[in-house]
Amino acid sequence: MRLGVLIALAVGCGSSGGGVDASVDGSVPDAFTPDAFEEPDAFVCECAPFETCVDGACACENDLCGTAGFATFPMVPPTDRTLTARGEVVDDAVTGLTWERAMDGVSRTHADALERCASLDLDGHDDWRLPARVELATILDATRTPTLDVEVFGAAIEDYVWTASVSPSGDARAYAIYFGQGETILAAAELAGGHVRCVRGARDAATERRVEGEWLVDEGTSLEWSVALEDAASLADAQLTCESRGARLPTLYELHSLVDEGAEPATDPRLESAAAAVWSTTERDFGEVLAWVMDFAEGTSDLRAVDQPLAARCVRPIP
Amino acid sequence: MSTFRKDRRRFMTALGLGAGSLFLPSRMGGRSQTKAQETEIPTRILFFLTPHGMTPPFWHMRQEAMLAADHELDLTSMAEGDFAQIFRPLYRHRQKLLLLDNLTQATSIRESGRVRDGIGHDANEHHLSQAHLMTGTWTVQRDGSTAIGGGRSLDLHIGDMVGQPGRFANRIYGFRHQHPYSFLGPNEPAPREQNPATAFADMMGYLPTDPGMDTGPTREDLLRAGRGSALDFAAAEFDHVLPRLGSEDADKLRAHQRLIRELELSFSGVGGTPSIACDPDVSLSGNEMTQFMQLATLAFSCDVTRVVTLVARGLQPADFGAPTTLNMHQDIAHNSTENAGGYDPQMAQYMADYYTAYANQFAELLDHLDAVPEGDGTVLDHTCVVWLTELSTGTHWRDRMPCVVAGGANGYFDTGRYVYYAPTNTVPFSYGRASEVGPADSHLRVSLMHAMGLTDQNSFGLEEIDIKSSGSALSLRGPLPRLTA
Repeated sequence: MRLGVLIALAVGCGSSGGGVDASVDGSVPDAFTPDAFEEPDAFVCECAPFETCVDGACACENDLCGTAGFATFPMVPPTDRTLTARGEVVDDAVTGLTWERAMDGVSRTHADALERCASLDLDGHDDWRLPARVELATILDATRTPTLDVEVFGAAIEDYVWTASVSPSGDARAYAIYFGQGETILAAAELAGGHVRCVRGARDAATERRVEGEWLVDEGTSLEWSVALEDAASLADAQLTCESRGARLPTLYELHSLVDEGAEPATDPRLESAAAAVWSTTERDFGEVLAWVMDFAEGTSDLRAVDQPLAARCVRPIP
Repeated sequence: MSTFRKDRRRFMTALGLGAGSLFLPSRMGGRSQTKAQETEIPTRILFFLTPHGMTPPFWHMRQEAMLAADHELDLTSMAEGDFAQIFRPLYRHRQKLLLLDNLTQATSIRESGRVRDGIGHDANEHHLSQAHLMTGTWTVQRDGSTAIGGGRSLDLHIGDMVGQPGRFANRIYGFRHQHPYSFLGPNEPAPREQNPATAFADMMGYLPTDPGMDTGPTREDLLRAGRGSALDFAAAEFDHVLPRLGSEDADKLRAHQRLIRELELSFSGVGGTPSIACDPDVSLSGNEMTQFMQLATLAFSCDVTRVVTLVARGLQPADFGAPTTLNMHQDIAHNSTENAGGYDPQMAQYMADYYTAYANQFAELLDHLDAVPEGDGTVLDHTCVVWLTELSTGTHWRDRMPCVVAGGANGYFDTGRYVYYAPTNTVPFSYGRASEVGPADSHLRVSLMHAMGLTDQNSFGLEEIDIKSSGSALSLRGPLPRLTA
């Protein structure tokens, strides 16, 4: 269940309204009485991603508001990226984002990371912000170390880097990507252990995803995903399974675009077995070749041995 | 849980390939006789490797007023409460322990500086430590990938030296941390078995089968069917070795061949008389780590191998009572020492609990080895059990490292002591600062080789590293002082 989809009187709430349909724990109340209105904390609004519910109304306290938290650009592999260093910044022609080129080497809490970017004045601009998880993933190269293009970004800090994306569970965790290896984790937001790389650039409102037949169509990335989840005995089996469906296995970066950090499990609920962990084709050689896996229970990634049984979520370009 | 029971005769038949403890000086490079050779019971070595690193205040037992000088403590006269939290589970083995304080991964630290100078691209401290811990030499910086071990690792090197036909040179059990620690050579990871059932089958001479089954063909069965005799297989290995032996050793080897033939015939008939220490009626039970400990004990007591590396499974917060919402690496490890930007005392305590859990595992490993009588002591008394941590701390220190050596190695080490080394060696850190640190762990590797009888070898991996700021070099040759009896 998406955080915030807990109630009902969506007065003034951002994106979509809703009826009186669920209680805080997700069950239908036995009785809905006016007394409930005397306890406003018991109700929250149905808010769009990155919006928060304040006094029964959705509010935007985050630069990511108005977006779905999804990619509105193709999630291209590192070899196809068009990153260009320009003084103290790096421009990405694919995503339209501009990145802070060098990090300051200071580890911070999540709140301090947000604040640092909000106060950054760089390249003649002051509209910097902490990147969303899916944005930070567009500069990650999870196949090697350093895990980003040091020719463009200069020296790398091989450590955890905060994103603006937070856990939907309300447990004070935020997403971070480990640039020492490549995994995405949920980390305790109050601990000052994360580094910061700020970004700026317009974020388009995400297009509505739709289901067409057996496919979930995402115009933002120009991809469509199999609604069905396929069992696979291994990574190779997963690849064959997808090929037999006229599709392919996704890359780790494409899987990042399917994560919805505002939802529990962390993806579109219209997908079958939405919480499953699935294979990617993105590999990492630790002496033994491993492949990246996206676990949609929380939208985190990890490496697995390629001979393990795991599920496949197939993908293909929108025809 | 998997439990295995094998009959003694079948096991000993499988062991017929490797029974005996023939020692061939000419394969040892002409080195002098050693304690390991002089004793009837061989010396073995077991490496126990754990990820991340300990939390300094929770393992230090050093005298804070004497940090500038070497000093030591008598563990045997200490009360349990005087042991630091992390080492407290080891208290019951205190007479057989050496707790070493303030070693330095000097080669790994130096490589960070090399990467900074443009020699290679991967300076990830996990990667460098994993590559250097058992090799002590420069990594292979793989284009478009990561840095990985750049030489044959110590466990395999010792296995080469103490191995002989019919006995496994070494065995590597356990789990993956990131990169491996053990290498056949540069960028060549050594095989590691992660499944205790498969490791058991390998040791017992069975092909991999259902762990609960006792019906699979033995290696002996297959050899008999395919080659007529297990001896034929051993003979092929002997023929490979014979030309390289002196005449005296060649005679010994031929005698050993005859012994194996007799054993083979004996086991084919009414059965042999196995050593009391080698108990093939073993039951493997408990979790995977416990099963690997049992396997290592069996391997040593039956002389299946004399070198085992056990890579511990990475623990998760639930394993040591921390909240499951915490990330082990980022939340706990990276915020566990006071120099870390995100230092949090609670995370330091969790990191100490994490390593206390590993100390419990290590104590259990010693329990297994100490439970098997052998000669006038136990298997543990004749074994060198070395606990190495990937890093010094959860925040990637690579100096001020701890190390535990247990078992004494047939009396080679003078155990029952906590040994602190003063910071008298200069090592250049990657950011250009030359710091005074404790001795390089390269010296420990030499000490371990000496404990295993390789006393003519005075270095392993790099023999020295340069110190840019002074133009001088830090020698990595020679054993670590103050360890031996």
